[in-house]
Amino acid sequence: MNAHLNLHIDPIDELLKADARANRMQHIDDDGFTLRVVDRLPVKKRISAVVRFAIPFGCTLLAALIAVAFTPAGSYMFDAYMDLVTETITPTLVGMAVAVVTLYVVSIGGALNDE
Amino acid sequence: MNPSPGFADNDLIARVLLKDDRNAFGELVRRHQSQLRSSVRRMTGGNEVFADDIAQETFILAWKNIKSFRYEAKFSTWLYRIAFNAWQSEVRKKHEVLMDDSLMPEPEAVECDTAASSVRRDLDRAMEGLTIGEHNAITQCYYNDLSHEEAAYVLGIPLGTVKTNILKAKEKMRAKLAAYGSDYGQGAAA
Repeated sequence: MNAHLNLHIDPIDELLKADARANRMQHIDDDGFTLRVVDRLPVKKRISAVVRFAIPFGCTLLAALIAVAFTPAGSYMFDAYMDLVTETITPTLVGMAVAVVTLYVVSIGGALNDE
Repeated sequence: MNPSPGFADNDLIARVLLKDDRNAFGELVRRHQSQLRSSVRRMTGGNEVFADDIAQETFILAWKNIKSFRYEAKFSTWLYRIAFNAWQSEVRKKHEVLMDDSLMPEPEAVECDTAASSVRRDLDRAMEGLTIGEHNAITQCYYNDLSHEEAAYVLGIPLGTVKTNILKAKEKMRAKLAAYGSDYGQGAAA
């Protein structure tokens, strides 16, 4: 064999490559392995739609109530509540009802969009 | 609906990420199980039962942590990394010493009538005496067909260490084979 050619061949490298090639040719049969893995996969916990709706809605409502209660507009809520109790339909009550319904619709819309 | 085998890995990963699609993940397992189990068997010195336990654990960890897969590496390379960490963790649990200068366990004898059996024998002989670090570097770069950079990622060690381990391993193997009078030990690259 030509000695010059041998200079560029690393026999260990060739040996490893040959064995690795032979190794890759040997396919290991699945033999139920995939099924066993899939059966053992844990169920991922997903937050339910109700909770996903309740969290933003609850936070928004609470923040809105706190904000309004500490401003001069707080009397607006109180007036609306009194109108509701006395069953008197006034612009204040209608305005408050519209605001609450809007809040509900936006929250439900957001929750459904996330689904 | 089962995902078609025609889907690329990345499409299946996307389905797992978006819909927690177990069938898509099952297809990924089916595709990669042979390669991964073969690789882990080399790590465990041919202990098939232990290797399959680690391979199974690897896929379960991949399922749990798939959100951390960033597409920076191939999915198979990412699996090798998880498998290597799982193997290290299992070995530690079994209170076996996993020092970088410790020697690999003797591989289990496997009867083999293929043409590659003599190559196999020579190689087993040559790999006796490699440290775990050297053995791991050889496994990743040759048997898992990874680049030095990918091997460094899988093993979690610097690139320079991988290269050094490969060189040292080859030197040891060369000396070992020369001592046995094998042709493989002669005529090393200049």
